Amino acid sequence: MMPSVMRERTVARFCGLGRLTSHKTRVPRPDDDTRSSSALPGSDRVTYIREDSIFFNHQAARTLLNNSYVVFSILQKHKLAKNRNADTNFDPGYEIFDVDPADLSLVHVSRAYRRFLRDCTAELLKNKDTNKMETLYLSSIFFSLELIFHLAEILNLDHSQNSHMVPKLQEWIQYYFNESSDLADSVIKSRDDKSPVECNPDFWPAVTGLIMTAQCKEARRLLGLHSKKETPAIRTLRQLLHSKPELQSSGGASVAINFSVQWEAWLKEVRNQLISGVFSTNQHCLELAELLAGDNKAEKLVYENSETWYKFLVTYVSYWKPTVESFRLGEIARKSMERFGMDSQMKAVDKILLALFESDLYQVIESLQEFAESGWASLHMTDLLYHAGLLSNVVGQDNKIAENLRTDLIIQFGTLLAANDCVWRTGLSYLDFAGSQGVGHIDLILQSRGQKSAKDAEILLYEAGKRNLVKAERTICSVVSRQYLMEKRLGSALMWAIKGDNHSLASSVAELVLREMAVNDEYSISDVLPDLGTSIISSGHLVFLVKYNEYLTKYHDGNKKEAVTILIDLITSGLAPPYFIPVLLKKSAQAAKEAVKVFNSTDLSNILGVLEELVVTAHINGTKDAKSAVASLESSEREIREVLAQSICQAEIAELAKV
Amino acid sequence: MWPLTIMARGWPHALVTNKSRLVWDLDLHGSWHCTSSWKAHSGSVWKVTWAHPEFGQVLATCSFDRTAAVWEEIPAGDGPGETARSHWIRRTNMVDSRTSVTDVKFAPRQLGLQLATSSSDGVVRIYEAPDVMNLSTWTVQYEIQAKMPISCLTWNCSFSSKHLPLLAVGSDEVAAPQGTIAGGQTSNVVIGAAKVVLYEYSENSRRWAKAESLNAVTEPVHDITFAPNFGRSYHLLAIASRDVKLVILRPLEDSTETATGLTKFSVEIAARFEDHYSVVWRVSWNITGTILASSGDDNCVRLWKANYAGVWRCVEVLRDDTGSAHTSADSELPPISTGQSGGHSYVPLSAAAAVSGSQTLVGGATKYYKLGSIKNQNQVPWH
Repeated sequence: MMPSVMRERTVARFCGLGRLTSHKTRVPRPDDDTRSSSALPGSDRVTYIREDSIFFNHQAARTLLNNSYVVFSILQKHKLAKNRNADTNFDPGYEIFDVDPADLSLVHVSRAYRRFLRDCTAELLKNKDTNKMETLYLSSIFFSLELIFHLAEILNLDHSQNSHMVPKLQEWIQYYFNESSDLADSVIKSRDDKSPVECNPDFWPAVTGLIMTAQCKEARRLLGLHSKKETPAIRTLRQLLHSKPELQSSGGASVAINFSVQWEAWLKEVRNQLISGVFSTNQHCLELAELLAGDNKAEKLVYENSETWYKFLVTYVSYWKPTVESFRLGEIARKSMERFGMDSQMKAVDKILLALFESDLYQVIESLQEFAESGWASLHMTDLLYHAGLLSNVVGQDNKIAENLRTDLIIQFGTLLAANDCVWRTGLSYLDFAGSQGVGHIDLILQSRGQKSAKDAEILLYEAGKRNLVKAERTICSVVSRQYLMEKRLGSALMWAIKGDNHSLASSVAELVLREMAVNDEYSISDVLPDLGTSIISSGHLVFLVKYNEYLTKYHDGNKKEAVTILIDLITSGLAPPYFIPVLLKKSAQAAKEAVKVFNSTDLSNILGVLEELVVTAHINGTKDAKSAVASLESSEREIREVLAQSICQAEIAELAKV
Repeated sequence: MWPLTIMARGWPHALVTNKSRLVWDLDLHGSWHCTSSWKAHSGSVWKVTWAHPEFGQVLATCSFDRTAAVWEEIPAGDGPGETARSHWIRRTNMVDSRTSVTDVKFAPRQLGLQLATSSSDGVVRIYEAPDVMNLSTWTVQYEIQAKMPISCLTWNCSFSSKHLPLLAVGSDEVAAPQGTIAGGQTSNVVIGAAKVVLYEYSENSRRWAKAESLNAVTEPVHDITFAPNFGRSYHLLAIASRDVKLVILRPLEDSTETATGLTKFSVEIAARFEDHYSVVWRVSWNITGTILASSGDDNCVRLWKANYAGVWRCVEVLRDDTGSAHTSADSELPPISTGQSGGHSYVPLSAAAAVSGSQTLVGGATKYYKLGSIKNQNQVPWH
């Protein structure tokens, strides 16, 4: 076939959990009539692809995962217990929060997540062995997540007491962008007697930065180091900074009103000083005073000194709208972004922060899914917002959508983790919180994870047993049993089949064992049999096998009398499969030879009867088994008959003698 | 479809490629070994399918040579020779078909050891092995005449006892050109006839009967797959045709009242993906039935996923960049991550969002890594 009529086709197929195989195959072009002639040499390369996640590869991320799972599960249990008014004091996991269980709030949970994120970032940066670029990339992701979770906490979760936004936002920005404070420190440290401190090029940027992030006390202290601090410009600026009223983050409307009054008065003072021209001697002071006054001239200064639009936003609200309500923030955020000309080049973080300011929570979750690693962030964020009841408020009164979304995310995340050999059990634990769908997934995952060894299977069984998933247990055991069966380890196969309650398989394996025993005198599985318990009743083969084994044990222990009794039972009960009768006959002949006294004549004639029956059925309408059984007897049939006949005689004589 | 099929074995442990009929095993250290290779049929093998591991290491093949066969693995000899190859024994050969056998699928395991085959003369045969320990005896339990060439079939695997066993078959029959119809030669070919038909097993009459024709699908169908179903009240069927269609089959409430005992379904197209802009050859569900992979003539593999609101989106596009598959690429390929443009094999396109605009709610965050590739049987490429 000419290559010209060939074309390549890519074909992909899922196989196993979270795994995809793909390969190319060469096919003839459709217009080629000979297409059915023979197998075509397709590509001999198969690509095996799996879904990846940082939780699979990084110890630091795995620690984050484990910690956050603990917190996640406590939150779920806590909410559940709260709904039932149950007592939760006994859960030891609460230690994580360092808070009384009764007072546990979503803010504590969110803080715990943030702490773990921070630890994870630190851990990543500490570990120098790993790929530098990758570490930096990952730590930047975790840093952004911390930033996002913190803002979400401020805007959505922390509604304890009529709180005010601006102080919290200031705190937020100070926490993550504190370089002006560091700058101030370095300015103070590097000061010497030779030149005044203001000659340090970092002096004024540090002051500006501190004032912009609302750290006025620090700014005032730094200004106090100025060599000409007694000049009117600096003195007045320091005084204004000192008298600037601070809004407390907590407190109700009265606090806000009080603050407004003070703020207005202070603002008037600042403006008066500006008009008086006291700052005209010092350009820096003038600009800063304009900033304090919320003058539009200062906007440029703020813009130039803000690295990000959200830092700009915080400075803006600090001096222009110090009592702003949270619902106005979205509008201001959008304006700030426009100021930065970012509409077209929004990064994921920007998108998420903007959505947070705009209270578009579904957008937050959507963007988180696109941005963050493996669904960790979107799941935990959604869960927090869900428990805060914020998702249902968005879409009318319907809580269904929020619930579905949460369940969906848990399932996505759980299934992703379940595909990995290291974290799969954490995945299952997450799925435990996804309701009936989660249970279904766990069931399926346990059945399809596959086991490389019996030890793996034990773990799978443990997980299934914990959740009472009988069907999964059965499947796992049956598969293990089959594997042993293939390796011809019949004893183990039997044990696992019984463990899995798979009667038909157990019975089939028992039959194989019996057949093996029939041809191989040495074969024994007595090490397994004692563990079988009561389940043997399920199958005739099994009952027989166990009984026969009992006989063997007794016989070897020298307890011949009891052994023979069992043997007689086995032969005469009719339970024995045809292929096994020869074995029993030989054994009984042997026993009769050794210890005649145990048998009575009736037993012996019954045994002889069984032999007769076998021979007759084999000749008339015998099954393959009966025929081969007789064939296997061939050489010893005569001997058995002789021994039996002799024994009958002896037994009858003995019995007559007794009479 | 065409000569090569891969399936997971025992689930995550092996691949079989049926062109050369190789079985690859994944050992404990994550390397692949070719454990078996054998000649199975005298014609092209269309498809290979694994039975549930509960039934042992069993696979079935179907071929252009008009037969289907069931194979069982027998470990190589006794003793400690671990490296010895196991061999596969043909347990049975199903010779009932008079034309090429186009598809073979094992039934969900709760139905026991059943096997459905389809042939290009339009017959679906359902075989059963009454004794699961004895794979040599298979009897034809049912024969369904579909009256159209069948290219593919699928069992529904529902875990709910409320759902009756369902089979869906697809036909790749190309509607005859107008001219031939005018000539009266092929009057039985109806343009626009449904190419996907559902059959349901009725407990009352103990037979398979036609439950529904999907009139929405009139183009040749190349592959068809039910999504694994647990907990859903409806069935989800993926159809590979000129595009990918997702069909929701919702059993109607009052369905059992009908005399036949057959379920009535409401048919609803849940999604239609035309992103391949070409014929789609294969659709495959992940184990949990949440992600669909479609492969088309554009040499892309697209992964689809529904968000919480049931809206299906493309979450990932995997493109084969090798150009020619038989180039002598290195065996030790570096792992290729999203965004990097490696020269070999699969390069997941950077972000799904970039492809599908702002439409995704799920997605973007999913990453697929290449784990390894198999080139020749002697190689063990793995990173």
